[in-house]
Amino acid sequence: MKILNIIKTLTLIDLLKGLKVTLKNFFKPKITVQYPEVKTPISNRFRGKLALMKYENGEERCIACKLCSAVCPANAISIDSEESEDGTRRTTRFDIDAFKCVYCGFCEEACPVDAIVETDIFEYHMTENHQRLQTKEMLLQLGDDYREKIVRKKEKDHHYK
Amino acid sequence: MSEPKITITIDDQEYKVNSGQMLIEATDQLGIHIPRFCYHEKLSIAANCRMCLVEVENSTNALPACATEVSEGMVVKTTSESAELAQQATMEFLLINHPLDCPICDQGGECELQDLAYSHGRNESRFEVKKRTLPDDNLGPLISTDMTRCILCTRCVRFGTEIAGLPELGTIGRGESSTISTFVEKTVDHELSGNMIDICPVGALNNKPYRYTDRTWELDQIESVSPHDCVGSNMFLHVKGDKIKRIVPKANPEINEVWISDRDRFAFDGIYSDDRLTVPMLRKNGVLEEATWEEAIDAFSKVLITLQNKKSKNGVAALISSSTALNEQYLYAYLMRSLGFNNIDHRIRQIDFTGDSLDPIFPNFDIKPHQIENMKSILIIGSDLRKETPLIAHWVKKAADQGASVNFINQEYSEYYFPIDNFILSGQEALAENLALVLKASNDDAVNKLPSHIEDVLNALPTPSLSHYQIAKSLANHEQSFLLSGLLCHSHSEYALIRSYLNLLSYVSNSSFGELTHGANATGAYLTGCIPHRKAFGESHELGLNALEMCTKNHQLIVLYGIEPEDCLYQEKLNQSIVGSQTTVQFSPFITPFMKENADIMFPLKTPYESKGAFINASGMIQDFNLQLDLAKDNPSNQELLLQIIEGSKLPMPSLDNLKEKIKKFIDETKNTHNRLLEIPEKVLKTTKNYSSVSSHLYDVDSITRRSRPLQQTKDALSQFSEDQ
Ligand code: SF4
Ligand code: SF4
Ligand code: SF4
Ligand code: FES
Repeated sequence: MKILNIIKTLTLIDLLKGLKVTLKNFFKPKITVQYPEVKTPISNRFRGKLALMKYENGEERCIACKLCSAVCPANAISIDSEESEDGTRRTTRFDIDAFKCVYCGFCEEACPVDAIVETDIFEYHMTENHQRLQTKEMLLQLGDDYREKIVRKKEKDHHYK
Repeated sequence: MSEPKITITIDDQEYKVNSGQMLIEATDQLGIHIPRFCYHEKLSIAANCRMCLVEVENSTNALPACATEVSEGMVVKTTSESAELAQQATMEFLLINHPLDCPICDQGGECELQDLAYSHGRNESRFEVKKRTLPDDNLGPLISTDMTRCILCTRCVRFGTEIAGLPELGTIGRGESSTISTFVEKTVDHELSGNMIDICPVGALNNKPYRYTDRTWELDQIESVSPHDCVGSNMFLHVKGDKIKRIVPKANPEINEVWISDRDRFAFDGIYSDDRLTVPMLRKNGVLEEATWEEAIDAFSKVLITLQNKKSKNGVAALISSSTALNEQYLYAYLMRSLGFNNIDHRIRQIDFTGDSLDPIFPNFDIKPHQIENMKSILIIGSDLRKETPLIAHWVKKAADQGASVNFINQEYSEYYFPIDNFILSGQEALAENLALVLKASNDDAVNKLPSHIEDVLNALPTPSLSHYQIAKSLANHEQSFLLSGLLCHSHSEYALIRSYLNLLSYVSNSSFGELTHGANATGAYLTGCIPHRKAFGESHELGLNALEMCTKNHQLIVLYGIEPEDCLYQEKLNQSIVGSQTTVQFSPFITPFMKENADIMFPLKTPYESKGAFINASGMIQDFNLQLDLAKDNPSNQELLLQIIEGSKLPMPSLDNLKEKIKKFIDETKNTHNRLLEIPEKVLKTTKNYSSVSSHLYDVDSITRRSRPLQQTKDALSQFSEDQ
């Protein structure tokens, strides 16, 4: 046994075994990318920044049922509502605290009218504390800006729901 | 009067229950839940929703638990397959026409239909035809309607006929096309109608001011007592954060059963009025400016000390509202009395003070509100009962519906929706005389005889009419008889005389006697010494000026605590006195243009919705409330403010420990020794000015109610407005 060990040590067999793995991977195709120049593909179910959607005719979808704020595990959503001029139920305030949100997607799941959705945006920053509150206007704007992308993404995923 | 017990078996368990009741009553008492929509413990049985179907042995069909009387040996299964099947079928039928509104429905989260759809409903609808939709009626400013959600349980209809006495809603049409509606385009105006919001099991009738604002799960529930009348209805405030969102009744079988009046439900809106005062104000160089608390307290204490040193006892007038909490009244009276100022009063809606020396320690009310129901004969004097105390009217209605003879002596006729035996319509000047005639009629063959000098007075009166005799007879013939004097008596120019007659009548006819009072805590005001002739706990004291005298004079200092001149029956006089007085100090939650012009120091008060304290209702029941909500959180509480002023005025600190217990004990001790005063006041006031026709209107009773937007849009408030024009 002793002799065998001595031979192993002298011929560096274990080292070469290890290097063989390195060598194999060295020539394999790479899966890492040069972020941020290059980006990884994103799943249709990716859960990023939240947005509020409108109907085609521009009417807000949200009906202020507050189910999202009720289901939110992080208590990130605050909503105030009242009867609007046309007699419908509408929010007067819709704030999402980006620091509290854990991107679980429960709110999207709970929403009966598909008003609140999760986009695939995950790159954003803020410099002031108060900016963490995303107001109704910001959320609706985001929904408008990325409308097509969001619709495409949701359409692709909807077979699996 | 206990019913015989019988044995029934429910879900394989034997129970002994009272016979003669419906199955659902028995299971409710036993805590076994049977689903239901149309059954309501305070309403008659309609048995039209069929949700409560249960399996009963030896019956081929499932039977409705709300309309099946328990019987000996009955075997009931509430969760067996056939019971469940029946309930599921009912549920499916109910949901055929029900909209998928839950997310926007204010009932969502507290909806009986939603809960049962969850437990008994199918996942998918098999109904493929178009759903029925219905137009919504406008029921006025308090109740919103979404009639498509109605499941036709008819609770609201039965409420109208049985509780309010005014069938405002009804079922129209048959089968598929039946709807609930007002018969002609009409609003719902009864002063208890807000309760329909609570009894409607779905979201068809809902709270209009609250519409679409919050969800039930966001609200916290806090117990409270109504600050708007002397009944002291129990209620729950539903608050989100620091803001009151709505008010619902809290059941108290002795006071308000399960109802509250619309005034109790909607008045709170007034505290969010734009003219709320949140910072102290001080007049500097002729202008009323914002000041710090220290400055304002200092300024006030200085005025008090200066006047105390000058010994100008009569230079100070101190008025306080009868709707302030016990602790505040006690401290306020302590402050004024200790400084030697005796002019303190809360009776700003009274004009006749000649009976002060005959005053009981606190206004009489021999029975608790719910005992009115058992009365067999009731005489009501000088009261617009439904408007003054909607819940007392409710108890009287219950008595009347059970066959009691209800009689009125009143100066105006209003609709009561219960049978009235005799209604003596008497002019304001003849109110006392009409009462005296009933007394005279009673005295003829009474057991308890009156002292001769009073008989002499009665003998001088004309002969009583038939109605007087009938009332007298009804009171004498029934052991359970009750005399109720209303707020109009309080403001009557012969109040003292009327009260004496009532005392005499209750002695002669052996009836209980009750006096309605203004505000939520007039009893407290009497007991804490907020009256010119007595200190706290009824100790007699050097006489001060009464409210009317105070208002007709100018003073060196006039202090209004929780009062606005509008609250006062003689507002004009009070206004003049404020203008003519050297210094005016007002403690108030609100600031009006008039006070802005004339007040020298103003302290913001917290309303009873935001503070802590206790009210004593007309029957002497003490009830606590402890609400720490506030618009201006950092402001001291009313109690702290008064204590700081007492400290600033260099007075020894009073002890508030056990104040409530002491008062409670005192009430219990005095209540039993209340003797009927067999006396009539010597001098009788005859004023020319007819104050008491200015009755306090339903929605004008205090500063908060006056500012409540929903209430001010009701027909009652609007018609009052047009009357005043
Ligand atoms: S994603 Fe989750 S944590 Fe974020 S707002 Fe929605 S429910 Fe709340
Ligand atoms: S009444 Fe109840 S079941 Fe009907 S929509 Fe409203 S919450 Fe839903
Ligand atoms: S409105 Fe409400 S209380 Fe009235 S019948 Fe319809 S469901 Fe019942
Ligand atoms: S509750 Fe029994 S039929 Fe409606």
